[in-house]
Amino acid sequence: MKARGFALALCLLPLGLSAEGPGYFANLRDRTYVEVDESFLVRERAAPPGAPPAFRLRHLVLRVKTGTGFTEQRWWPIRSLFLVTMRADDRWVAEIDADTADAEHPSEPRSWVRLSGGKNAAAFEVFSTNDAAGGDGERASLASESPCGGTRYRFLGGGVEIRDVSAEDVRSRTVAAVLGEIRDALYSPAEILDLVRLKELGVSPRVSGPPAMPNLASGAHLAWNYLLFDKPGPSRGEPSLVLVPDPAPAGDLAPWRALTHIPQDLAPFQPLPEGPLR
Amino acid sequence: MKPVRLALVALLVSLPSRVSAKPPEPDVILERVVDGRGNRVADIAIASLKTAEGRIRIRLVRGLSRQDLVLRHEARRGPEGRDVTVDEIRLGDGMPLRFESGATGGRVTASSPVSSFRYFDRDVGRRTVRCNLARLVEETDHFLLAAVADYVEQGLEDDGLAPEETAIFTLRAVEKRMPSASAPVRKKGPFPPDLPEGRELRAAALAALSEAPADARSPG
Repeated sequence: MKARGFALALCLLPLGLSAEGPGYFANLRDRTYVEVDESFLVRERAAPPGAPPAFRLRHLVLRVKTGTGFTEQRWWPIRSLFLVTMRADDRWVAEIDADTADAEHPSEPRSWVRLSGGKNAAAFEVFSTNDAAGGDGERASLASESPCGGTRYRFLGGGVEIRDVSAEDVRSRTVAAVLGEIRDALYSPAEILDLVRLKELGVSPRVSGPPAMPNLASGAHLAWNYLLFDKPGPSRGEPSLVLVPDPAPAGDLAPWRALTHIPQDLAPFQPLPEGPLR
Repeated sequence: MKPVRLALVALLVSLPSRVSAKPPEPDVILERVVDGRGNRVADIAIASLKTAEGRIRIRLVRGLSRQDLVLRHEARRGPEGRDVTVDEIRLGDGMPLRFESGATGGRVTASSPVSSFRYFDRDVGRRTVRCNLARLVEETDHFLLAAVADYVEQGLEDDGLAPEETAIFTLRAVEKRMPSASAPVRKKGPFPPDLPEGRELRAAALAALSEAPADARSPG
């Protein structure tokens, strides 16, 4: 009986692993460099002095050298990761990626946003097609109405998936219902409460992240915004959470590798002087 | 004498139930659609059957494209006691694209032989739903969208939307086409009774009516 159960588990294992799709990190496996590595303690604004932090946050910005290396540095894919450690040592990773390297194949799905915790991950991918036909007047207007043209998104996790989503439809009932199903399939009610808390986290781009990419750090909120769209957002007043630099050493990234798929060897990123555009 | 009379009474009492046990006869209506000059555009057979389990309607359109366009609508009570509506659209003997929905306003599940997609009816005009339905159509039958467009352009839609035309109504939102400059003149009338192809049309509609829905058929 036990042997049969073990065999069944072996059969089901690949199903579980393939839930988010095999390709999310496909373009992010090359030589990787660290551009930013900063750690913070996240405290309640109202907490008394000396109170333990609500959680710890480590912000990593990685650059992935793709292909033959002839691609200019500025076009290397960027990975911006929030590594969050909660009080109970639960780990969450919210990642946003900017991959503009393969402009010749825009219809290939590109990694965009990933929210992982425990053994679960919600992944968002982006791809586009340029099927806007030529023509003028009414004909051109109808071409731009092509149902599968332009930028589209794919949301998946917990065995639930919706693809070919247009940006303007994200709040539609059809898409919102699937996003709710993904969230409920992946996370327990207690974990969702943690996520709602994390949603309040505001990391100013001036606090962390290179100045050349001002919107990237705050882009990590996308995961929460999509999955927790129906939960109350951060209050408009002063944020209830504040960030202070963490004096403790950042530590090894090994415990995070299962969630982040970061390569073993990470070299520091040395920006080259920008050359003429090719 | 007494047992004989008793048997006779028993027979008379059971007679109505024996009569009602006879399988219900399907209704079939044949129509011919002609253009302004009286030339044939398409022939339509509408077959319907009401049973204790539910209601099935078939609309079979012949002459519009190379293969018959078959629309199937079934309303029945599902396993959990709720009303279920299943609409199918297919060309000839090909696999159908299927739409299953429960309560009004609930989600519709559209299924090709390969994959499925769930959406709310009120979002049919949105690009996300249109793009996913376009994918399901490609997975089912590449020529299905063209057949739907021809059906609409030829003005074959029922005066009030017939239940079996739900798939047409949904799929015509997928691809926005240039409206034709002037609507064609079409006249719908009863099928000429003396034409022999009427029997074949009727038989094809009855055959489609007797088929099990796609979910009950074995793949391939």
